[in-house]
Amino acid sequence: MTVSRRDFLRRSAEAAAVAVLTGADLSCRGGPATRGGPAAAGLDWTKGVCRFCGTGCGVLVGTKGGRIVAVQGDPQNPVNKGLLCVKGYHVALAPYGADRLTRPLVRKEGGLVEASWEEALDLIARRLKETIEANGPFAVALYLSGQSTIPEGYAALKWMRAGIGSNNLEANARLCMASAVAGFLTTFGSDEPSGCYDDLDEADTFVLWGANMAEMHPVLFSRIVDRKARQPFVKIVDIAVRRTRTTEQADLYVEIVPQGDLALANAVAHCLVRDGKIDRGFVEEHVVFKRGRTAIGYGLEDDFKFQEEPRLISFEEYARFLRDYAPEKAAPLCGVAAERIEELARLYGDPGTRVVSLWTMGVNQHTRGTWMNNLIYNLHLLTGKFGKPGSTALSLTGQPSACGTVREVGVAANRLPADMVVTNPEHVAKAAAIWKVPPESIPARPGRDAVEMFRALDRGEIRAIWIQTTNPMQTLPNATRYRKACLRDDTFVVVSDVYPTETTAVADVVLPSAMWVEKEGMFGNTERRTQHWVKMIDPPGEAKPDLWQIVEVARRLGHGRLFEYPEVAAGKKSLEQALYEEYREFTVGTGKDVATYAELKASRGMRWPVVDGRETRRRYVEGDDPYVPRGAGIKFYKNKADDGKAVVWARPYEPPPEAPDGTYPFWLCTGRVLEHWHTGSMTRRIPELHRAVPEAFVEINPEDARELGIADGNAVRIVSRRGSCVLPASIHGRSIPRRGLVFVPFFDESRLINEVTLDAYCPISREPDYKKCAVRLEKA
Amino acid sequence: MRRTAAVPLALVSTTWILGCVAGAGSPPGRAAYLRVQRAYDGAPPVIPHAVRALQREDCLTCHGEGMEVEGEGLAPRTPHPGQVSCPQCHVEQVTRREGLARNAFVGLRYPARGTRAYRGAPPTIPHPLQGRRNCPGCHGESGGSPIRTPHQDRVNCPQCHVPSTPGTAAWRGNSFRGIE
Repeated sequence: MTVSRRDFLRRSAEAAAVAVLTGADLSCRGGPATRGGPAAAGLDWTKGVCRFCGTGCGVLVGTKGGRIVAVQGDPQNPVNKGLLCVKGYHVALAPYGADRLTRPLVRKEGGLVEASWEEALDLIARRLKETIEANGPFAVALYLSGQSTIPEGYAALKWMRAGIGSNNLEANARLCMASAVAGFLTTFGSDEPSGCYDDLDEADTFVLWGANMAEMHPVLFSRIVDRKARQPFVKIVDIAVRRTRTTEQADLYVEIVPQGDLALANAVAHCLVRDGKIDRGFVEEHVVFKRGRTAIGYGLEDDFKFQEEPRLISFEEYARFLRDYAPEKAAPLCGVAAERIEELARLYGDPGTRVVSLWTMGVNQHTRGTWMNNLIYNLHLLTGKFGKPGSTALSLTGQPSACGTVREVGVAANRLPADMVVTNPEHVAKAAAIWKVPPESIPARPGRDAVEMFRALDRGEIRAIWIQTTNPMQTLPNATRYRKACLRDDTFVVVSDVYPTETTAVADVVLPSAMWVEKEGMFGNTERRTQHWVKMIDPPGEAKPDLWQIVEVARRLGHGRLFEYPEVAAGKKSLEQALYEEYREFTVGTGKDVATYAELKASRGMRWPVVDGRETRRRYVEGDDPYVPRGAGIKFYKNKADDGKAVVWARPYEPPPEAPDGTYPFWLCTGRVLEHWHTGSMTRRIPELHRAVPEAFVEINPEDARELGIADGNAVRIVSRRGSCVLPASIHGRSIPRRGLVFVPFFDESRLINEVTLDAYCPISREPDYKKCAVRLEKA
Repeated sequence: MRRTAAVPLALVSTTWILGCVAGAGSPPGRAAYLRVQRAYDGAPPVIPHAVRALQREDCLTCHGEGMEVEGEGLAPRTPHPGQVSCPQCHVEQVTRREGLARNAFVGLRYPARGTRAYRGAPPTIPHPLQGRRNCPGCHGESGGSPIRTPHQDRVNCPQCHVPSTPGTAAWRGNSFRGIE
């Protein structure tokens, strides 16, 4: 039934002759807690950024009387244009959970007891000093987060490199974006995408490689669906292992077997080459071809080492490599029928079709994650569908500042700001000059990556670790091993967080942190946009920003000069501003130039490189990117090693480290749901979100469930070679996995699915694969 | 792919949320309906019934034009029919249990009515308009708001009704005194 608005109004008018003016309170939710909430008079609205995912939605935060009382999607922010998702609308409630940590806690006689800041900070400083004296600076580790702010990440980097003298600095972004980084570095010579969200408004075809965007990047997915609604020729292709809300909107659902994406991407490339759908001009001008090592392992053994050996190959050799991936040969590997592969190849190959490829964890959390990133870029580079409006390969980020803080600042075992590394003496010299420290004070040996860092803690090589804004005891794969390590007497674990978590539970010291708009900060999102917010409310109790905590401990260790700035002492600048401006010095002139502090304050964020007050929509593209010389059209100027060209990699299919067998006949895939952020430490404390998805579950294909005699809601034990976990079955729920695969979200701390997962990782990016391991199901 | 039949068949009566205010069993009044379902004014209302439907069209079966669903009460008309992904913002509440979610947040409320300059003057709009561009969605016949327009044949609402930030004084003041 369709009724026009006018018709409806007319009909309604007849029915409603009387206006109903009850004077009822039109306000907020019911329940005694919110009766008598503040009225709108005197409300302040201040621009901010959503605390949750990597989309980077602008929010307006409504505060009154020192408390947050509402948020709105920021209509002026080009990222979300006023729209949010259910998490974003409820981010206002995130600071107000009843069990907020408000006082430092120190472990005494087995239990955590309240302590003063003085006592807690002195204890940390003493233990770090003792550890450095006894075991050297590399026995100290700092583990941050893609949710740390840019000044926090930068302060941590500066302190660890130039103060402590350890490169054991990592962030949880290793668990989600490392393969994207390695993919960018190997293909383009520089991290982060060329394209941006504007491309979503101009594409004809969207190919989603293992990304359930409807739940994980909902605001961006709405933008895609909105484009499709206005332009019916727009197609969405969903390549996945389960049918989700994303599939509901897709025109083509391509169901693959886990790990089969490697074969599928190569098969598409094969078809493009076979059918002459290559953009020869683009390839000749902008592309080189390379091969690397094969049979590269899975990082399962401690202290795993890998060294890439790239070599240039010809286009002909690349074409010969692809012959193994003719559709009929690739079909059994990827589980996709040959005609489907051809269909996908036609979408990429049609010169008149603008294609955006999108991906996140399905591709990144993969023992061949770097290869998969390379393989997707291959399709765009071969067809020249790159750097044009609506044609790009856009790697979506998971966390709100995985890009801004971790990737751009370099909060990783070997990195310095703006794509620099500790192993390059020139880079170290630049850092030393900006920091006004001797270059030899910055260690040249890379530290350990996240998984190896916790393995080293277990082995006793790392003795002290400080964890901020993340919950590794719930998120590390094969987590049981690392929990035991933290609980041992010879390890010292400090955790800064806002709520009790699985990780604070194993800490020796817990520091109560300020969160989100309780402090000033900046985040950097997927599309290179750096956004700033001011402090809007005070943190509760004695909670303090992570930055303050680092500076206080650094001072106690004699590293205070690293954070001394005359303008800060004189009250003319915040420490956040001083640190950001110093960090910006690293980026100016490199093509990764972030905006000035004043530009950030005045704008809804700007996309780097920002030169002379102008942001860059598309990197490497003439007219947009000021670093591309006139007349070049497109220039991959960061990849100097390959003469300013991008690399198409010949990367083969290789099997996963563990696959279903007779004893463990199912694949286990883990991930998130729309309503919960990561380990749920914030979202499970928000009533509207908790009540929507109160507990984790295991999604089982209905046919598999029938064969196993499992009904919806039955308790099911999932058992792997590493551990087990009991969950209620979800059959015909929100998503339906392919046969032989089960899916479990990881937000629920009472059902720790990461005690079941496998700690295999991509040897190049060292990012673990949370999407594939073998399990069996038992009725519990 | 459509997994369920038409939505009314998929609805399972869940009176618990409404029961908080309206008393379980009794059909909820519009005011009660509004009061129970959002964290603060401007937050998307939660869904007070079970949901198995996945497609937007399924939501719009009832919420497109708004309708009375037998035994369930009013299915309010969406005030933003242009938005395309309902479950992105509106979520079902499958439990009443609070778990970890004891939360001290106190949400913003807006006044029940807008102000009028004088008796007979059009009332101002006391709430934000974000996501609420389709006035009849709430103030038309099948709207959830207890305030319903006495002149539904008029289609250009903002011609007379303008948003007003409560508590904001007029620029340079104004000494007009209207009839009451």
